[in-house]
Amino acid sequence: MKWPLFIFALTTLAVAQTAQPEAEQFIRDLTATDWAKRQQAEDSLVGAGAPAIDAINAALATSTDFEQRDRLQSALARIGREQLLIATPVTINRRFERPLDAYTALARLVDLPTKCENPDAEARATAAVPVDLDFTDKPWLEALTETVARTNVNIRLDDGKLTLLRVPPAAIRRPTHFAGAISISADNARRRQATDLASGNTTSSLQVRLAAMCEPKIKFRAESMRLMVSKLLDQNGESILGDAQRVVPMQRESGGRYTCTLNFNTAKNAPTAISLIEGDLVGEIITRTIEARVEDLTVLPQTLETPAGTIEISSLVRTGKNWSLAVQISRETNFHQSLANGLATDTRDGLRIVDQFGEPMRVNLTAQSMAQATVDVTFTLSSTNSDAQPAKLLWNIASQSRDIRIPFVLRDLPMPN
Amino acid sequence: MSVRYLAAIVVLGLLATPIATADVPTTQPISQVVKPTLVTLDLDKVAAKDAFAELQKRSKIKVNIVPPDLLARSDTPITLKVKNRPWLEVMLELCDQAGVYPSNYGNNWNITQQGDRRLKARRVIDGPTMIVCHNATTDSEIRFGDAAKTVRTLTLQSMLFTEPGSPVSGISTVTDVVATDDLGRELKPVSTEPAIFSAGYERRDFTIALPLPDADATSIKRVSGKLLAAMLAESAELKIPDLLRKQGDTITFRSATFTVSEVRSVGNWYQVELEVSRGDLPLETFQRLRTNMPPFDPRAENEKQAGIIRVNQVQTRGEDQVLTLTVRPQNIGAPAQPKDEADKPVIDLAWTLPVSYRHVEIPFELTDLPIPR
Repeated sequence: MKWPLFIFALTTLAVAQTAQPEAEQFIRDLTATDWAKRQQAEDSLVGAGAPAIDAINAALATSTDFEQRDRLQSALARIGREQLLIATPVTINRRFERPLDAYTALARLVDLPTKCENPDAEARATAAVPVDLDFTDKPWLEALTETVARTNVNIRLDDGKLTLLRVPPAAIRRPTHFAGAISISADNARRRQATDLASGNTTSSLQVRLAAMCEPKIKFRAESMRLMVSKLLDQNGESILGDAQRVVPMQRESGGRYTCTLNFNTAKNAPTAISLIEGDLVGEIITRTIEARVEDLTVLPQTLETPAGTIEISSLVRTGKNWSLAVQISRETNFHQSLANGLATDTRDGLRIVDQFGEPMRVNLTAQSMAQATVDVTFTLSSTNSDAQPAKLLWNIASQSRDIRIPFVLRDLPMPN
Repeated sequence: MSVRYLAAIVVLGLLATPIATADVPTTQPISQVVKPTLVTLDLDKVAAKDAFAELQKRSKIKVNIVPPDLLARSDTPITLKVKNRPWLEVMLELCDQAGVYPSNYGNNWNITQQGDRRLKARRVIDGPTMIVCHNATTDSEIRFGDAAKTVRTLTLQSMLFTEPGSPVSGISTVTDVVATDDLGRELKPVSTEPAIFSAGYERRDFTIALPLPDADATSIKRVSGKLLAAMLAESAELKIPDLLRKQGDTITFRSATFTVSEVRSVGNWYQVELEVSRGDLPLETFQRLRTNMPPFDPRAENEKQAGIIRVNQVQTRGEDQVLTLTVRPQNIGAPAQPKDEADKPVIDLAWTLPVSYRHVEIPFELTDLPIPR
């Protein structure tokens, strides 16, 4: 059996900074006999922010003190979380000759390439329509929303790129709550009344669709994201919280966009408007990933002993012109469920297979079965090149995540009558 | 190899059956092509069991009673006097009187205690076909940030039913829909589903979405239109004897070819991959080779099946398709898990495929449908 090479990399926290003497002092204070001093030292480390990361990692490599290690890891995660949630500031004051140029400048700030959806989208984006952007330290998502309104060219945040769309944006500004690198907005509301013509019974329902948009640096663990509604007022300011779901799971729609539908128990006395929705967006953001590799897929099975758990690449079988790759994820991993769910998404959660020519192959999830101890996943691999044979597997696997909670408020949403 | 392991899969083991022989235009009203089975009954306070037996005797159409003693439990005497009425109409009337429910699976009809209660909804029987409109749904949507304008749509969900043995395989599309509300306003459909003509489907349900620009209408006075349905004209049997030894072989089926790329056994099941090159085979036949399609069973004679074929995956490669099939032979007595290659039973694949269709029009008209509020 051939053991794979692991490359551990802090993907979002890796900020190369010289360790500061203060940080080293704070780290020493983590072993103080006084609890208050240890707690203050951790808070101070978090306050030092990204420049303290190298010192923390250095201490983690040598420390054998249980509490010190725990606090170092906690501080690392807290720094990462706070850094992540801070919006990328945009300062641009100039005229762009084409919408595409404006979007390219914005996307470059968050290390995203831009891509037009199709030739029609490209024609819209490259039309000689000047765009004036005058942003000073404006949060990136707000700047993006503003640019959509100014260019009349709509966008979609995909995994690894900003896609310019063919269809222009609706001429509307949705109620939106901006919270640093994340925004929460209301899309639409739908009332449905269905009559069963056999029995004559009519059922009613009311749904409000909400969406969250994230900067590319934020990645949520699959299916960890929820909206917790804590306050819901109708047009008269009366609470209708009892009629609605309080915890609503959010689904990933595209790279940085998540949506959910808030269901109301009844629409018989449904509100004509919602004057206030207040709550929290909660979830687990990935603060650390590892890259797992299998350098030679012709030698199987191979077991990846990752910090996230055990993953066995069981078999690779040719089926007609395609290939079938069987993978088993152990239950021991903290990310067992998340990995399995993530594989069902469009991105396959960072899984890449390249052929013997170094070209990426198309990966489709064709089967998934859940057992008590394992999840079995089968992928179909295909390529336009009929000679292509899977050669290497590269998998960015989430290995650490932290809870976040972002309060939000949306006001004055009319309901359909 | 033991004889008891010899199993023949005769899936949909019907002989190639030309349904219609006359030269007819591509599309014509169904009434000109398929005649309903007409029934004459004169029942006076007879037991439900005897009433259904009489219907079967007169019509020569068998329905499955589930459980078999269901009708014996009904103590409601049945009285019905009809002359030359369509079988569907008479069967439904008997069900209503006996307090049992019919349900329909493809071309099979079952009579059960629960059944499909949708069949009690608005139904229109016309010869060998019946259209049931079972659900009306009003959707009101507002997009936030818009000028608080509510968009309303009424969606009518309906189904097509046919007599057992009907050659109608499914709805291809819905056309010529005209609707008026109770205030006399004409409503042009926002959409119909299925919307795109596709003859290979076995689809029996269809929807019509109508705009409701004003909130004052309370019902749809009339909605009419036409269903275009695919009707089997001819089927033929694809035979691959001794399937397990045919890996790599190419079998010619009319002008198409089926290449057996792989055969694997999984317990009592077999996973088969076929590469299909269409040749001049009609598009409808090709469309018929779809994921999760049930076995084609034009004459409702499931009991003649010796096994089951399921198409699990269809991949299109230009003009060709690759099918991944699961095949289950009903070889009672075969081991659940064949021990090794040598013990595998010989299996023959026999798959009845439609090779030509013609298309018929099924007009419909529904009246006085409520708009949910």
